[in-house]
Amino acid sequence: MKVAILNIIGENCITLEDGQKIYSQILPELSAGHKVELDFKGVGVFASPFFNAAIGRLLNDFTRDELNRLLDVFNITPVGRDILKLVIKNSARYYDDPDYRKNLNKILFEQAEVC
Amino acid sequence: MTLDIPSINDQLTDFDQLFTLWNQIQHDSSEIVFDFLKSQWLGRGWAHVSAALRDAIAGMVWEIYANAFEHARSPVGIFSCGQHFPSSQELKLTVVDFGFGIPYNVRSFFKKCRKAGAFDAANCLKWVFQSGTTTNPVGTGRGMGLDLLKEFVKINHGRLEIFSHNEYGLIDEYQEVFIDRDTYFRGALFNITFRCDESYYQFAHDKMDEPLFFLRIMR
Repeated sequence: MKVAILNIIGENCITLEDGQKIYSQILPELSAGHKVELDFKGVGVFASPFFNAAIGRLLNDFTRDELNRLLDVFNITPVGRDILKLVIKNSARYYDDPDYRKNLNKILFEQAEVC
Repeated sequence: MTLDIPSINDQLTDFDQLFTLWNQIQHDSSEIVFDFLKSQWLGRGWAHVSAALRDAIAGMVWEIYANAFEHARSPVGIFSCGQHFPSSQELKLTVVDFGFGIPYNVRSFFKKCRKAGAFDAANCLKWVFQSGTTTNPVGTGRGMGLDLLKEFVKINHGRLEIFSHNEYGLIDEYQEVFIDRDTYFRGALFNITFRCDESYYQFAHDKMDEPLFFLRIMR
Protein backbone atom coordinates (compact mmCIF):
# COMPACT_ATOMS: atom_id res chain seq x y z
CA MET A 1 0.00 0.00 0.00
CA LYS A 2 1.40 3.36 -0.99
CA VAL A 3 0.19 6.48 0.79
CA ALA A 4 0.89 9.90 -0.73
CA ILE A 5 0.71 12.07 2.38
CA LEU A 6 0.50 15.33 0.41
CA ASN A 7 -2.75 14.23 -1.24
CA ILE A 8 -4.38 13.26 2.08
CA ILE A 9 -3.00 15.80 4.57
CA GLY A 10 -1.32 18.57 2.59
CA GLU A 11 1.98 20.41 2.99
CA ASN A 12 1.86 20.60 6.79
CA CYS A 13 1.90 17.42 8.87
CA ILE A 14 1.42 19.02 12.27
CA THR A 15 -1.81 18.06 13.99
CA LEU A 16 -2.70 15.00 16.01
CA GLU A 17 -5.98 14.66 14.14
CA ASP A 18 -4.19 14.39 10.78
CA GLY A 19 -1.84 11.84 12.29
CA GLN A 20 -4.83 9.79 13.40
CA LYS A 21 -6.15 9.79 9.83
CA ILE A 22 -2.93 8.19 8.63
CA TYR A 23 -2.85 5.76 11.53
CA SER A 24 -6.43 4.61 10.83
CA GLN A 25 -5.57 4.07 7.19
CA ILE A 26 -2.39 2.09 7.64
CA LEU A 27 -3.20 0.05 10.74
CA PRO A 28 -5.41 -2.54 8.95
CA GLU A 29 -2.77 -3.04 6.27
CA LEU A 30 0.03 -3.50 8.77
CA SER A 31 -2.11 -5.80 10.88
CA ALA A 32 -2.65 -7.96 7.80
CA GLY A 33 1.07 -8.15 7.28
CA HIS A 34 1.05 -5.91 4.20
CA LYS A 35 3.86 -3.51 3.48
CA VAL A 36 3.03 0.19 3.75
CA GLU A 37 4.97 2.99 2.08
CA LEU A 38 4.48 6.56 3.30
CA ASP A 39 5.53 9.12 0.69
CA PHE A 40 6.13 12.60 2.15
CA LYS A 41 6.99 14.25 -1.15
CA GLY A 42 5.84 17.88 -1.09
CA VAL A 43 5.42 18.00 2.70
CA GLY A 44 7.51 20.80 4.18
CA VAL A 45 6.47 21.24 7.81
CA PHE A 46 6.43 18.55 10.47
CA ALA A 47 5.48 18.55 14.14
CA SER A 48 5.53 15.88 16.80
CA PRO A 49 1.74 15.62 17.41
CA PHE A 50 1.31 14.33 13.86
CA PHE A 51 4.08 11.73 14.13
CA ASN A 52 3.01 10.67 17.63
CA ALA A 53 -0.46 9.84 16.35
CA ALA A 54 0.48 8.46 12.94
CA ILE A 55 3.56 6.40 13.68
CA GLY A 56 4.73 6.56 17.29
CA ARG A 57 1.66 4.75 18.60
CA LEU A 58 2.32 1.85 16.22
CA LEU A 59 4.93 0.71 18.72
CA ASN A 60 2.05 -0.25 20.97
CA ASP A 61 0.77 -2.63 18.30
CA PHE A 62 3.90 -3.94 16.62
CA THR A 63 7.51 -4.72 17.43
CA ARG A 64 10.34 -2.63 16.04
CA ASP A 65 11.39 -5.51 13.81
CA GLU A 66 7.90 -5.78 12.36
CA LEU A 67 7.74 -2.06 11.65
CA ASN A 68 11.21 -2.00 10.09
CA ARG A 69 10.03 -4.80 7.82
CA LEU A 70 6.55 -3.49 6.95
CA LEU A 71 6.72 0.31 7.09
CA ASP A 72 8.82 2.50 4.79
CA VAL A 73 9.07 6.28 4.74
CA PHE A 74 10.09 8.07 1.55
CA ASN A 75 10.91 11.60 0.45
CA ILE A 76 10.93 13.06 3.94
CA THR A 77 13.01 16.16 4.61
CA PRO A 78 16.02 15.84 6.93
CA VAL A 79 14.28 17.90 9.62
CA GLY A 80 11.15 15.75 9.27
CA ARG A 81 13.23 12.62 9.65
CA ASP A 82 14.93 14.07 12.74
CA ILE A 83 11.59 14.78 14.38
CA LEU A 84 10.22 11.37 13.43
CA LYS A 85 13.23 9.57 14.91
CA LEU A 86 12.89 11.50 18.17
CA VAL A 87 9.19 10.62 18.32
CA ILE A 88 9.97 6.94 17.67
CA LYS A 89 12.69 6.96 20.32
CA ASN A 90 10.31 8.52 22.83
CA SER A 91 7.46 6.15 21.98
CA ALA A 92 9.72 3.11 22.08
CA ARG A 93 10.94 4.03 25.53
CA TYR A 94 7.37 4.49 26.74
CA TYR A 95 5.92 1.32 25.28
CA ASP A 96 8.94 -0.92 25.83
CA ASP A 97 9.30 -0.25 29.51
CA PRO A 98 6.11 0.10 31.58
CA ASP A 99 8.22 0.95 34.59
CA TYR A 100 10.10 3.75 32.79
CA ARG A 101 7.78 6.54 33.79
CA LYS A 102 7.37 5.18 37.29
CA ASN A 103 11.14 5.11 37.74
CA LEU A 104 11.60 8.56 36.23
CA ASN A 105 9.03 10.04 38.58
CA LYS A 106 10.63 8.31 41.56
CA ILE A 107 13.99 9.86 40.68
CA LEU A 108 12.46 13.30 40.29
CA PHE A 109 10.67 13.05 43.64
CA GLU A 110 13.96 12.09 45.29
CA GLN A 111 15.64 15.08 43.68
CA ALA A 112 12.84 17.33 44.93
CA GLU A 113 13.39 16.14 48.51
CA VAL A 114 17.12 16.84 48.29
CA CYS A 115 16.39 20.36 47.07
CA MET B 1 -14.35 29.44 8.64
CA THR B 2 -13.30 32.92 7.53
CA LEU B 3 -11.02 34.94 9.75
CA ASP B 4 -10.69 38.67 9.22
CA ILE B 5 -7.13 39.06 10.47
CA PRO B 6 -6.10 42.66 11.19
CA SER B 7 -3.01 43.64 9.29
CA ILE B 8 -0.10 45.50 10.78
CA ASN B 9 -1.45 48.75 9.30
CA ASP B 10 -4.95 48.45 10.79
CA GLN B 11 -5.82 50.53 13.80
CA LEU B 12 -7.10 48.24 16.51
CA THR B 13 -9.58 50.55 18.17
CA ASP B 14 -11.82 47.75 19.35
CA PHE B 15 -9.89 45.23 21.40
CA ASP B 16 -13.09 43.37 22.22
CA GLN B 17 -13.31 42.40 18.57
CA LEU B 18 -9.74 41.12 18.64
CA PHE B 19 -10.39 38.98 21.71
CA THR B 20 -13.55 37.67 20.06
CA LEU B 21 -11.58 36.84 16.96
CA TRP B 22 -9.05 34.75 18.86
CA ASN B 23 -11.75 33.03 20.91
CA GLN B 24 -13.22 31.82 17.63
CA ILE B 25 -10.10 29.91 16.85
CA GLN B 26 -11.12 26.55 18.17
CA HIS B 27 -9.14 23.39 18.26
CA ASP B 28 -10.41 22.27 14.85
CA SER B 29 -9.07 25.43 13.21
CA SER B 30 -5.46 24.45 13.71
CA GLU B 31 -4.68 24.58 10.00
CA ILE B 32 -6.09 28.12 9.73
CA VAL B 33 -3.95 29.25 12.66
CA PHE B 34 -0.87 27.61 11.22
CA ASP B 35 -1.34 29.01 7.71
CA PHE B 36 -1.60 32.49 9.21
CA LEU B 37 1.44 31.82 11.37
CA LYS B 38 3.59 30.63 8.49
CA SER B 39 2.54 32.89 5.65
CA GLN B 40 1.61 36.18 7.30
CA TRP B 41 3.05 36.41 10.77
CA LEU B 42 6.33 34.58 10.30
CA GLY B 43 6.14 35.06 6.58
CA ARG B 44 7.36 38.64 6.56
CA GLY B 45 11.09 39.03 6.07
CA TRP B 46 11.81 35.50 4.95
CA ALA B 47 13.30 36.72 1.69
CA HIS B 48 16.80 35.60 2.61
CA VAL B 49 15.90 32.41 4.45
CA SER B 50 15.61 29.05 2.76
CA ALA B 51 12.24 27.33 2.63
CA ALA B 52 13.70 24.47 4.65
CA LEU B 53 14.80 26.75 7.51
CA ARG B 54 11.52 28.65 7.38
CA ASP B 55 9.58 25.38 7.60
CA ALA B 56 11.76 24.09 10.43
CA ILE B 57 11.16 27.23 12.51
CA ALA B 58 7.45 27.31 11.67
CA GLY B 59 7.20 23.71 12.87
CA MET B 60 8.93 24.56 16.14
CA VAL B 61 6.66 27.55 16.77
CA TRP B 62 3.69 25.29 16.10
CA GLU B 63 4.97 22.90 18.77
CA ILE B 64 4.57 25.75 21.30
CA TYR B 65 1.04 26.50 20.11
CA ALA B 66 0.09 22.82 20.14
CA ASN B 67 1.46 22.46 23.66
CA ALA B 68 -0.52 25.50 24.80
CA PHE B 69 -3.72 24.26 23.08
CA GLU B 70 -3.34 20.94 24.84
CA HIS B 71 -2.37 22.03 28.33
CA ALA B 72 -2.90 25.73 29.02
CA ARG B 73 -6.71 25.96 29.17
CA SER B 74 -6.34 29.66 28.51
CA PRO B 75 -9.77 31.37 28.55
CA VAL B 76 -8.71 34.12 26.13
CA GLY B 77 -6.56 32.04 23.81
CA ILE B 78 -2.90 32.41 22.99
CA PHE B 79 -1.12 35.65 22.13
CA SER B 80 2.04 36.08 20.12
CA CYS B 81 4.36 38.83 19.05
CA GLY B 82 7.71 38.85 17.40
CA GLN B 83 10.24 40.56 15.25
CA HIS B 84 12.81 39.56 12.70
CA PHE B 85 16.23 41.22 13.03
CA PRO B 86 17.95 40.80 9.64
CA SER B 87 21.22 42.40 10.75
CA SER B 88 21.76 39.85 13.52
CA GLN B 89 19.91 37.09 11.67
CA GLU B 90 17.60 36.49 14.59
CA LEU B 91 13.90 35.95 15.01
CA LYS B 92 12.60 36.85 18.45
CA LEU B 93 9.19 35.57 19.46
CA THR B 94 7.03 35.71 22.55
CA VAL B 95 4.09 33.35 22.99
CA VAL B 96 1.81 33.89 25.98
CA ASP B 97 -1.18 32.06 27.38
CA PHE B 98 -3.34 33.01 30.34
CA GLY B 99 -4.10 29.51 31.49
CA PHE B 100 -3.35 27.62 34.66
CA GLY B 101 0.40 27.63 34.22
CA ILE B 102 2.93 24.81 33.97
CA PRO B 103 3.47 24.21 37.71
CA TYR B 104 -0.29 23.85 38.27
CA ASN B 105 -0.57 21.25 35.51
CA VAL B 106 2.39 19.25 36.79
CA ARG B 107 1.16 19.25 40.39
CA SER B 108 -2.35 18.31 39.25
CA PHE B 109 -0.88 15.41 37.33
CA PHE B 110 0.84 14.13 40.46
CA LYS B 111 -1.95 15.04 42.85
CA LYS B 112 -2.49 11.47 43.89
CA CYS B 113 1.05 11.24 45.14
CA ARG B 114 1.60 12.39 48.67
CA LYS B 115 4.95 13.82 47.64
CA ALA B 116 3.45 16.15 45.04
CA GLY B 117 3.84 19.05 47.43
CA ALA B 118 7.59 18.60 47.27
CA PHE B 119 7.46 19.78 43.69
CA ASP B 120 8.38 23.39 44.03
CA ALA B 121 7.88 25.56 40.97
CA ALA B 122 11.43 25.19 39.65
CA ASN B 123 11.21 21.40 39.75
CA CYS B 124 7.90 21.48 37.88
CA LEU B 125 9.43 23.40 35.01
CA LYS B 126 12.48 21.14 35.01
CA TRP B 127 10.21 18.09 34.85
CA VAL B 128 8.30 19.17 31.73
CA PHE B 129 11.54 19.60 29.83
CA GLN B 130 12.67 16.08 30.66
CA SER B 131 12.48 13.84 27.62
CA GLY B 132 9.37 11.68 27.57
CA THR B 133 7.36 13.44 30.26
CA THR B 134 3.79 14.52 29.73
CA THR B 135 0.86 15.47 31.89
CA ASN B 136 -1.49 13.91 29.37
CA PRO B 137 -3.08 11.05 31.26
CA VAL B 138 -3.70 8.85 28.24
CA GLY B 139 -0.15 7.99 27.36
CA THR B 140 2.70 9.53 25.43
CA GLY B 141 0.76 12.73 24.89
CA ARG B 142 -0.08 14.61 21.76
CA GLY B 143 3.40 15.91 21.12
CA MET B 144 6.93 16.22 22.36
CA GLY B 145 6.70 19.97 22.00
CA LEU B 146 8.85 21.20 24.86
CA ASP B 147 11.49 18.50 24.57
CA LEU B 148 11.73 19.03 20.82
CA LEU B 149 11.84 22.79 21.22
CA LYS B 150 14.66 22.49 23.74
CA GLU B 151 16.72 20.32 21.39
CA PHE B 152 16.11 22.64 18.45
CA VAL B 153 17.06 25.77 20.42
CA LYS B 154 20.36 24.17 21.41
CA ILE B 155 21.22 23.07 17.88
CA ASN B 156 20.08 26.43 16.53
CA HIS B 157 22.37 28.33 18.99
CA GLY B 158 19.18 30.05 20.09
CA ARG B 159 17.70 30.85 23.46
CA LEU B 160 14.55 29.91 25.31
CA GLU B 161 13.13 31.61 28.38
CA ILE B 162 10.03 30.48 30.19
CA PHE B 163 8.02 32.30 32.85
CA SER B 164 5.21 30.46 34.63
CA HIS B 165 3.94 31.15 38.14
CA ASN B 166 6.99 32.13 40.20
CA GLU B 167 9.29 30.01 38.08
CA TYR B 168 11.86 30.95 35.47
CA GLY B 169 13.70 28.72 33.05
CA LEU B 170 16.55 29.55 30.70
CA ILE B 171 17.78 27.10 28.07
CA ASP B 172 20.51 27.56 25.53
CA GLU B 173 23.34 25.45 24.16
CA TYR B 174 25.41 25.99 27.30
CA GLN B 175 22.93 25.65 30.13
CA GLU B 176 19.56 24.71 31.52
CA VAL B 177 18.69 26.87 34.48
CA PHE B 178 15.48 26.65 36.51
CA ILE B 179 14.96 28.97 39.45
CA ASP B 180 12.20 30.37 41.63
CA ARG B 181 11.52 34.09 41.47
CA ASP B 182 9.67 36.61 43.59
CA THR B 183 7.41 37.68 40.72
CA TYR B 184 4.31 35.68 39.73
CA PHE B 185 2.61 35.12 36.38
CA ARG B 186 -0.42 32.90 36.33
CA GLY B 187 -0.15 31.48 32.79
CA ALA B 188 2.96 30.71 30.76
CA LEU B 189 5.20 32.96 28.69
CA PHE B 190 7.79 31.71 26.20
CA ASN B 191 10.51 34.06 24.98
CA ILE B 192 12.38 32.45 22.12
CA THR B 193 15.29 33.57 19.98
CA PHE B 194 15.86 31.61 16.79
CA ARG B 195 19.01 32.03 14.72
CA CYS B 196 18.09 32.42 11.06
CA ASP B 197 21.32 30.81 10.00
CA GLU B 198 21.26 28.04 7.46
CA SER B 199 23.95 26.22 9.42
CA TYR B 200 21.94 25.83 12.58
CA TYR B 201 18.65 24.05 12.19
CA GLN B 202 19.27 20.40 11.60
CA PHE B 203 19.70 17.84 14.32
CA ALA B 204 22.71 15.59 14.30
CA HIS B 205 22.01 13.12 11.57
CA ASP B 206 22.12 9.42 12.04
CA LYS B 207 22.96 7.40 8.98
CA MET B 208 20.17 7.99 6.47
CA ASP B 209 19.97 4.29 5.66
CA GLU B 210 19.63 3.32 9.32
CA PRO B 211 16.25 1.68 10.05
CA LEU B 212 13.73 4.14 11.50
CA PHE B 213 12.78 1.85 14.34
CA PHE B 214 16.34 1.00 15.23
CA LEU B 215 17.12 1.68 18.83
CA ARG B 216 20.65 1.12 20.06
CA ILE B 217 20.73 -0.01 23.65
CA MET B 218 23.81 1.01 25.60
CA ARG B 219 24.71 -1.32 28.43
